Amino acid sequence: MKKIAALLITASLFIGLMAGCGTGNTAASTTASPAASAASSSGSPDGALKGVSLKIGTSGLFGPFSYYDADGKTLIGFDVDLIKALQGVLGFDIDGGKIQAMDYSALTTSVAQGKLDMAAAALCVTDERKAVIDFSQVYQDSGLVVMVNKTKNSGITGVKDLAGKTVAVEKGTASHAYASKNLTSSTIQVNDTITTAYVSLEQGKVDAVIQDGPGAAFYIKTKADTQLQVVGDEFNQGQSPYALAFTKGSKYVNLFNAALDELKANGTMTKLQDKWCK
Amino acid sequence: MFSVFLQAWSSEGEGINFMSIAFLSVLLPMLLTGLKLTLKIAVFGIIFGFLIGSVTGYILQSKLKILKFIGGVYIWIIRGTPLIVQALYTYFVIPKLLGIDMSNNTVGILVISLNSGAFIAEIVRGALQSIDPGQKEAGLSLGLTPAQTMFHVIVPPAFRNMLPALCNQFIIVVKDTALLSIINVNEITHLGQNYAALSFRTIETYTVLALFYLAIISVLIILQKNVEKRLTLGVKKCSM
Repeated sequence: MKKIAALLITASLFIGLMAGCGTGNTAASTTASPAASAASSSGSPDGALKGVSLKIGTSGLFGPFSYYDADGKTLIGFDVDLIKALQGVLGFDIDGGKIQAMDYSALTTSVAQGKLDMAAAALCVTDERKAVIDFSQVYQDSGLVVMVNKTKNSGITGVKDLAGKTVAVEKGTASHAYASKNLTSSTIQVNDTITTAYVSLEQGKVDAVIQDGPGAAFYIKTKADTQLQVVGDEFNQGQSPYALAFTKGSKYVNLFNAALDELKANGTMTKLQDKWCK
Repeated sequence: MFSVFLQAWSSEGEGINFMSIAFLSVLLPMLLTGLKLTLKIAVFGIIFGFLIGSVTGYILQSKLKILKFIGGVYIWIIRGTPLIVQALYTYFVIPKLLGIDMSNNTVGILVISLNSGAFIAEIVRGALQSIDPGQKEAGLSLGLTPAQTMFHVIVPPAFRNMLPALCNQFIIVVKDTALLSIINVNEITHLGQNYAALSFRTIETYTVLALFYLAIISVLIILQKNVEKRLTLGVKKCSM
C-alpha cells in the first residue's frame, strides 16, 4: 500500500515537473515582446523587432529548404536565407546566435510548447499542426510525392498503388499524417529522419517513400548513384503548403506576415525561389 | 507548483485538454498491440540469448585457448558498443555485407539475443565456477563420463544459482526492446513516439508509456521473487 502511494506521488510530481517546464518556457518567450507589441500597432514591419531575441528552429533535413553544406556544419537553404531576409526587415536577433536544428517531430513539438518562438523548415500547414501551432501566410506551395526504387519491380505508379505495400515516412511530417489517415491497408514504417527512410528504400527494405515534392527532387538530383525515382503526380497539396510556424497565441505572426508581404513585393521571394527551387 | 500543474492540464496555450481522456481510446489499443511484439521479442531474445550465453560461458572456461579467444572477442564487442549502435549496425550494415534480407523484427530479436547472450555468458561462467571442483571430481570418480557429470551433477545447482541473475537479465531485456524503436520495430516505445508526433499529446503519451513499462516490470519483479523462493525451498542451507 505504501509502495503504491509512493509510486503515485512520484508519478504526479514527475508530471507536475514536466508541466511546469512547458508553461515556464511560454512565459519566458512572451516577456521578450514589449517592443514588438508597441511596433505592431504602427503597421510597418521595418525594424519592428529590433532588440528582440527569438529562438528559431529548423530541421536541416530537407534540401533545398533547410540542409547542411558540404562541410556538414553550416545550415543553408531557402528557409535559412528566408530567415536572414526576415531578419533584415524586422531586425530581430537569433537567440544563442544560431538557428537550432532538430528532426521534424521535435521541431513541431518545441514550437507548440513554446521552447522555440519560430520554426522555418518547409513546414506544411496540416490540420494536426494548426490545432497546436499558429502559422504565418503561405510562402511556397507544395505537395507530396511517392518515391520508389527503380531497380525493384514493385508495380507502383502512384499513391493509389500503395495498398498492401510497405511505405516509409518521416515522423511528424505531413507525409506521416497523410499515411496514417489514408493508407490504412499499407504497412507504414515511421522513421525518425528522412535519411533512414531513403536508405531503407535504396536497400529495398521498403517499397516506397512518401516525401514532399521539393525534397524528393533535391535528393534524387544530388545523391550520387541513387536508385530512387519519383512516380506519379503530386498529391495532398491542400495540406502541404509551407509557412512559418509560431507558438499558439504568438504576438509575432502579424509582423512576420507583414514582413513576408514586403519580401514578396520587393522581389526577394522570387530571387530566393530562383536560387533554391530551380 | 500545484497551481502550475493544474494550469498546464487545462491550458489552452498548449492546445491540450488533458481532462479529456478520449485519446486513451486510440492510444491504449495501439500500445496493447505493440506490447505483444515487445514481449515476443523479449521472450525470444532471452531464450536465444540463454542458448548463446550458455555456449559462450562454457567455452570461456574451457582449456582450448582459441575458443576462449573467440568468446572473449564476442563479449568485448557486445560490451564495448551501445545497444542502439548494435541495432543500427545489424539493421543497415550486416544485410549489405551478407547480402541477406531480414525484417525489422528479426533484426530486433537477433540484436537482443546477441546482446543478452554476452551478459548471460558471464552469468553462466560465474555460476559454473561457483560449483566446488570437488563435485566434478566426485562425479568422475563415481564412473560418470564428463558429459554426464556436467548434466547431472554440475548443471542443476549451477542453474539454480543462475536464476536470480537470469530473471534480472530478462527484466533488462524487456527494457532494451525500447531501444529497437530506432530501427522501426513497432514495439510500444516506437508506437508511442509516432502517436505523440501526430497528436502533439506528448505529456499524456509518455506518461502512459512509462506506466506501461512500470506495470510489466513490476509483474516480472514479483515473478522473480516467487521463482527465487521456490528454488531455495528444499535446498539445505549450510548450518553449523
